[in-house]
Amino acid sequence: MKVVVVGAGVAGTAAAWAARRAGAEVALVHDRAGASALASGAADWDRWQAAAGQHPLEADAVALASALGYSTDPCLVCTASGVLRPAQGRDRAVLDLTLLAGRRIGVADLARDDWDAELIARALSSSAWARTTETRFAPRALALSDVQHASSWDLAARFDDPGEREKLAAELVKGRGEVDAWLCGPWLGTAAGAHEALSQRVELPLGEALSPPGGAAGARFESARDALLEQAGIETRREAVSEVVVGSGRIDVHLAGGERWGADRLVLALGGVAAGGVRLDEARARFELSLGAPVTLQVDGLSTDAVSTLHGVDFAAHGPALLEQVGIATVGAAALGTPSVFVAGDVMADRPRTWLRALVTGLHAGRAAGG
Amino acid sequence: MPAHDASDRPDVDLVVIGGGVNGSGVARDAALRGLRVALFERNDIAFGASGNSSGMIHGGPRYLTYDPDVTHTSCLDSGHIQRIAPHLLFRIPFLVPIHASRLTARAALTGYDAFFDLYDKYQALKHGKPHVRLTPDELRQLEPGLVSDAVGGVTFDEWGIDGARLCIGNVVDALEHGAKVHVHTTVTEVLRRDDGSVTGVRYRDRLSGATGSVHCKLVVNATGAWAPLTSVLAGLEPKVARIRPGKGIHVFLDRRLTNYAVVATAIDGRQVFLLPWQNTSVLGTTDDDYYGDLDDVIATGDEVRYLTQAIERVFPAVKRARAIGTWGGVRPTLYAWGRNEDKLSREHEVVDHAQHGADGLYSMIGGKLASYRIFAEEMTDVVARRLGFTAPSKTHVSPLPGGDETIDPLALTEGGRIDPMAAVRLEYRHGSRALRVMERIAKNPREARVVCECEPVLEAEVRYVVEHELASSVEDVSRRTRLGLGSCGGMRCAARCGAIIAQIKERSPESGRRDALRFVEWTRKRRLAAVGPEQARQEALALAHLRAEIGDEPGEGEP
Ligand SMILES: Cc1cc2nc3c(=O)[nH]c(=O)nc-3n(C[C@H](O)[C@H](O)[C@H](O)COP(=O)(O)OP(=O)(O)OC[C@H]3O[C@@H](n4cnc5c(N)ncnc54)[C@H](O)[C@@H]3O)c2cc1C
Ligand SMILES: Cc1cc2nc3c(=O)[nH]c(=O)nc-3n(C[C@H](O)[C@H](O)[C@H](O)COP(=O)(O)OP(=O)(O)OC[C@H]3O[C@@H](n4cnc5c(N)ncnc54)[C@H](O)[C@@H]3O)c2cc1C
Repeated sequence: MKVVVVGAGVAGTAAAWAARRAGAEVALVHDRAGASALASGAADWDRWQAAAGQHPLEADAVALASALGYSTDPCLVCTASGVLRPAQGRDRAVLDLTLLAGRRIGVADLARDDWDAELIARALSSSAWARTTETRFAPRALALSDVQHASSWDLAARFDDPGEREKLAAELVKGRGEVDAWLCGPWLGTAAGAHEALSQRVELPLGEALSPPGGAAGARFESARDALLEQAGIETRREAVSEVVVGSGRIDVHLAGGERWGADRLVLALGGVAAGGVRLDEARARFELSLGAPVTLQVDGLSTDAVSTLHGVDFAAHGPALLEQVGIATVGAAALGTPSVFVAGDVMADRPRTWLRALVTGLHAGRAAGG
Repeated sequence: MPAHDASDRPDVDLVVIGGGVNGSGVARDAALRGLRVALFERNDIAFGASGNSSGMIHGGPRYLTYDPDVTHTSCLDSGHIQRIAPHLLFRIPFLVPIHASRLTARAALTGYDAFFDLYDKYQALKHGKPHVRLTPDELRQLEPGLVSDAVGGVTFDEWGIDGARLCIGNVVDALEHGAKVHVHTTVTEVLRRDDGSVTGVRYRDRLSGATGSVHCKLVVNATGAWAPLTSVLAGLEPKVARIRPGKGIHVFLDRRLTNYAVVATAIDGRQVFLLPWQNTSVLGTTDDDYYGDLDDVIATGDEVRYLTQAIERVFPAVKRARAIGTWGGVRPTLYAWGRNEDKLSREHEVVDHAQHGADGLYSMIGGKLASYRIFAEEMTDVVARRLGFTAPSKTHVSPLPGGDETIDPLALTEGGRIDPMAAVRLEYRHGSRALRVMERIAKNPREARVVCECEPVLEAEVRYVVEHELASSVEDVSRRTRLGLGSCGGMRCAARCGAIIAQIKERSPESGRRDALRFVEWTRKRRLAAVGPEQARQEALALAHLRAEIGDEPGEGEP
């Protein structure tokens, strides 16, 4: 059984991993930074995870998330806007406040434009949770040079380097005795292990707030993913797919460079509009996939043709939610009407776009395709 | 009603209703002449037509053939505005390409040439450059993106302005000369005596809900397209302040596509344009009768397409440009039944409502940004004369705040500590008062941080406009600084701006977040009609980011 997976976000990675475990020969192709590489570091099942009602996860999902650097224990995380919120899982570099109730938390201040430690501490301290648990947040300046204007991604990458990381650690160590934990911006490394090494050195709980698009969480996902795919022996190619042709019993995957891959089964994990897997076509101003494929796109249960007018998609009438609903119509894990093509993650129509759903639908699609 | 006749002891001489350019202009002029003034603005300063116009202090060449008076007053006053607020004006050279597809292309070119010969006579009044007739080659060199079938073209010179900054300048100067200015405060009734004459206004603060009244000698209704509704508040028929409401929308792009403003002809023969304006390009404008909600004027997809289709014919790349927003306003045009919207005169008129039994009430009808100053002067002349103030208007010579001296924006960068782009934009908006913003940074270096990267806007400026320019929400700050109007639509800056305002105003961080979400919703609503292929992905990213960062609903994150 030969399975080709298009897409290397959470969903494509999970599908490739599961299909390989099911015994298939797997090749994966992807070309751009999708939502998984731009995401925040929180893993939800529904849109904004309610504290109650955790979605039960199968053992495979927990194991795979862990291999991707994510914990799947319910947690309390915070954002650069000073909002506290529950999530069902998180990138392990993201600080979980659950066990820090009643403690003193230092908010690392690097005088950066995108991380206003003073206002973040003020907002977090005034949250209902902090008030009832008497948890205190206070800004604390770190004396580090050249950290003010670097992009947050560059800063995170800088702390992958042990020498640079030591400078940060030395500053954080000074907080011992005065703070019980450190909340930092999304800068604690882009490589797996950087955050853990830092925590061990500082000997205080420490972690990040959620990342903005293009932040450290996405970079860590990408490095964990690449390691995982390599370890699982999955051939990976960085190239765009231009078209897939589904014949009887055989699927042809056309790469943009002209190469053609044959497959028995195909998994489309292209991501949604945010990833560029679904886009607005310029000429016809209607939604279409980033590659040609014999599948049906739908929004809100309707074929996408139904939402465009003569001049295109009328967002003013339908609201921006269309952007998060449009995707491939499915029956179970398969594309509607094309049983050898499986679909996973954000590219599925009318599902909440969340990290854990991408993971779980990826596992399902991979198993179905590989078995 | 109070037992005594409060008009014996009026709180102020003059109440001005409406904080558009006309109301702000009158408040300033009157305050400069020593009148005690109170201004009420229902929304925010420049919320209406004044903050949503095409932003041109033009001489109105299109009025030249049938209403040259408009052209003359506009050009003359354009010169005055330059003198009092040199920082706010920027040159916009226009280009009219004449396309070979027109049967009479050559004759048209000669016609335009002659027409602008005539316009050149007025240019000197506003320090404009004379027009130039261009060969097809010259045209291509100046704007390579134009379709190449032109037989030639003509340039002419106009000035651009940020209409909101113009209003703020007038309001701040009025404040500094003793006026009381109430924003987000709507006049709910114009109070009148038994004999019909006005004695004051009742108002309601729309944020706090507080109500009150102010007694005065005279009232000026400067509520633009709202003017007929305002007459009703005085117990008069709406038709005593009749206007023809002409809705106009603009689409703005994420960058400047051209150096010249390019004129094109729309499907119905109207002239539309692609305008380099501040750090964006703007497509404008439409002109349609409008009877919808004046507090919520939103561009529709149809209007956006009308403009893009027209511009596409002369500048095809506009199709692939990224539209990042729209704005819409309603022109308070002088009423004339049955004429085509476009042919209506933009002349202005002061209506004395004594003829309708409401002595002491005046309405300002019509006008333009370009001639606001002279209109305000005419209005204030009437009011001042009645109240016995003899001082003449000084508004054509007395500088607006920041217009007193020219400063070099690059001197504000403090040897590289401040981003040069941020300094240039700051100086544009505040003129010499940019120095006051910089003083804040000298005292507290943290205020040098950038809040909005797109524009860009520094924290010091956010704090300055909250403390000195009556801003109290993210939307207000955005009107004064253009924060959040760049390509990210406030995704990166709204929350931070909301938090800063909440801190200054001693509100909860939670209310700052609600404010930020309202703003993001507000910009999104104004962007949706223009979302095309280039913006769709950004829009989806912004939705996901905001949900992860702040939550769909304020307070949602609270466990
Ligand atoms: C800013 C942001 C914040 C978020 N915050 C949260 C959060 O707090 N909690 C949460 O649960 N979820 C969050 N999400 C959502 C979550 O990240 C996504 O639901 C999830 O990552 C989707 O994964 P995916 O694999 O389906 O798609 P993606 O990660 O988008 O992957 C799509 C893949 O398809 C590939 N691709 C597309 N077209 C082609 C082609 N033609 N040829 C080759 N390859 C192609 C791309 O290269 C990419 O690898 C957030 C998303 C964003 C953008
Ligand atoms: C699309 C468009 C493009 C234009 N382009 C140009 C141009 O390029 N150049 C130019 O010179 N002119 C231009 N104009 C014309 C110009 O903008 C207007 O003529 C001018 O701004 C009108 O100012 P105003 O103060 O009378 O009205 P507005 O600016 O509309 O102000 C009226 C104010 O009154 C307030 N208000 C209403 N009711 C109440 C109440 N009961 N209590 C308190 N306040 C109240 C409103 O909130 C509003 O802020 C354009 C207009 C439009 C719509």
